[in-house]
Amino acid sequence: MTTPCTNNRLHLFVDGELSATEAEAFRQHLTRCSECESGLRDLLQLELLAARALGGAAPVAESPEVVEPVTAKVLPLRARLQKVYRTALPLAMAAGLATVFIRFQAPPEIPGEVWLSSADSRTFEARLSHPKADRFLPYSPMRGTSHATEMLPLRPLAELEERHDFRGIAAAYALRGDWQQAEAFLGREAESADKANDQAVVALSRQRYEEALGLLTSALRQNPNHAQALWNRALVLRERDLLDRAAASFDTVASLGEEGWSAEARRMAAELRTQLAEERVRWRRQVTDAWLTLTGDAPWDAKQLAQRPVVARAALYEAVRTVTSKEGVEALLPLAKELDTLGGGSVLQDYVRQVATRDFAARAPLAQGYAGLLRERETKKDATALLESLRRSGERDIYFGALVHTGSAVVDATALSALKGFAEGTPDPWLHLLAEREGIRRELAAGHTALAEKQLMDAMLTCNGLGNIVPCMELN
Amino acid sequence: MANLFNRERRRYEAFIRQHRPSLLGLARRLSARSSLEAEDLVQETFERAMNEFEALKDRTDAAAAAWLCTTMTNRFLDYCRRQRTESRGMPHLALVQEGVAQGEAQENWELVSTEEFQKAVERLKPHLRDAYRLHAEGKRYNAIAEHFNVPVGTVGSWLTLARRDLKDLLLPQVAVARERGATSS
Repeated sequence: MTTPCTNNRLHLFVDGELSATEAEAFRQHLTRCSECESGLRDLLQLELLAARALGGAAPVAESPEVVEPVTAKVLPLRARLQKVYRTALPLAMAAGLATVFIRFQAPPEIPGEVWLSSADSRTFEARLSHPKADRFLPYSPMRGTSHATEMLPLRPLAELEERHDFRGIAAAYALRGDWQQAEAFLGREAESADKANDQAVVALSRQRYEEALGLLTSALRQNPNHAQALWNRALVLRERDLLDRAAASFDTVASLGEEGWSAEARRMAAELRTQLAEERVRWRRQVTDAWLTLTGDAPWDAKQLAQRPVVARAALYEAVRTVTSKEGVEALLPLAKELDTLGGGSVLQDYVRQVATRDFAARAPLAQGYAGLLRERETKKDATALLESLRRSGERDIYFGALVHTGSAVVDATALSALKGFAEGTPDPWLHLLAEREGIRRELAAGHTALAEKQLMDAMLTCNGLGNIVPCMELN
Repeated sequence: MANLFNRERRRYEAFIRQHRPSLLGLARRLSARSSLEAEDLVQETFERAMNEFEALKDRTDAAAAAWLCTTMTNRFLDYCRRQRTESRGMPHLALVQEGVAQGEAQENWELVSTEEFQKAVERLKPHLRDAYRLHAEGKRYNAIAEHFNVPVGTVGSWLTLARRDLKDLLLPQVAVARERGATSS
């Protein structure tokens, strides 16, 4: 049997002596055989040297026997020149021809292929500011590398450089996945919202989300309706799991009425909201189930509950707030202990022990009121009276829970400061984040979007840094 | 790279004029019977050369040619890998793998001048030398076989032997050139 490595197959291949099928098989073999690959490297070096030293033409090019497959590829000069210009090969032509060519073509139009005008899909989600690079196309991530090796025509780039259109050059590189070159050329572009947007796209591609958000904020400060920046901001927020904010940013894009993009933005916003709504429903159900388990009569196993630490932690807070006796609170200690083992420290155990010292004659009715609030979450019962009793009572943890549940702190500055005051008085990082979230919601309600989103990104980073012990998704 | 497009264009064009014909000849041989276009292969190679031109322009012709050859070989191997993954419906993961031993071949060959190569060809056994020259002139195996009145398979063996001998003759030169470089520096 003839294996590809035997019988001088490599030499036959390079000399064009294999049939089409054999050549195809050998090319496939080459990619797997390091011996043949290194043989090919040596052989080609030798043959190039031969061509330079002996001045001979390569057999395939000159030999009449194989003219056919070759002529099919060698275009007549005129057609070739057109092809050459289309793929912008001119630097590789004889200089004389190139010079003539330049003279008659000035000022040349930049061919759309510089920005992959014939592509039928986008390979990355972000939007560049250059109009030629921002045509709406369906997004197709699986074909992510298909343009990477596509040729970048040089002559039009030279022309763009002469026009100081560095953003255009950067876009051409970015579309081919060459982010380093894109970034370098953007550095030479004059400051503008467009430049900041494109730099953000580079940052986004490198997963530098905080930097990207900063750049986009700057772009939007210069032009609040910058479609690409709004779109890219949505992507950054989504990457940080801030789905609600991401959807809001997509909404703004949709409202700009751009062809293609508008509908896509609407679809993205709807998708994110559905995802978020589903996650919320699932999350609430899980927490409610765990809370009912903790406060019910049936025995439960702390270790087993702690296998889902995020749910268990949320349920534990609710259980401590709603049980009506010292014994009931103390019974929660094993779970607090398990969760503290995961999160480090003794935050939850301290909390449970501290509540166990409260006077339950006074606390029990408030705990029941709060439990009612939880049970009737959907009915939006007026909680003003309960909040007022809680505010006046010393049961600050229940008051905190009620404020978070009712969202009162968003509209009530006094409530917000009470919320923050309580959070600051505990060493529990999750309560800090929740208080922060309520503050951010207040900023959002006041229209301070950029500031709020920056704070949300920071909060999300802090949250992710805690490890998987708290429900970061709740920051939305 | 700031002023390369304008200031050094002429120099770059001269560089291309010098190397393009031999590179294109090689590219045609590699791309024969495939969907790959020889012109594209050469174009991609010169595009990479442009990025490296600062370093390439001051090197010897032999070194520049060896660099171009390695680069074009890499592009060709990329093409083969892409074909393979596409035919299997896989993403282009293989593209990220760089070729093996690419530096070694280049380092050896960039020290060989065309004069040294010509002398080495002279030292081949007569039938190997003549067969190799005919082949370098563009003759196919069957034409060479006819010329010597031998079977086509023999021509293949002769060319393989000629190349092996050339390599053996030239690689000691490489060792000498290295030594020269080491003592003179």
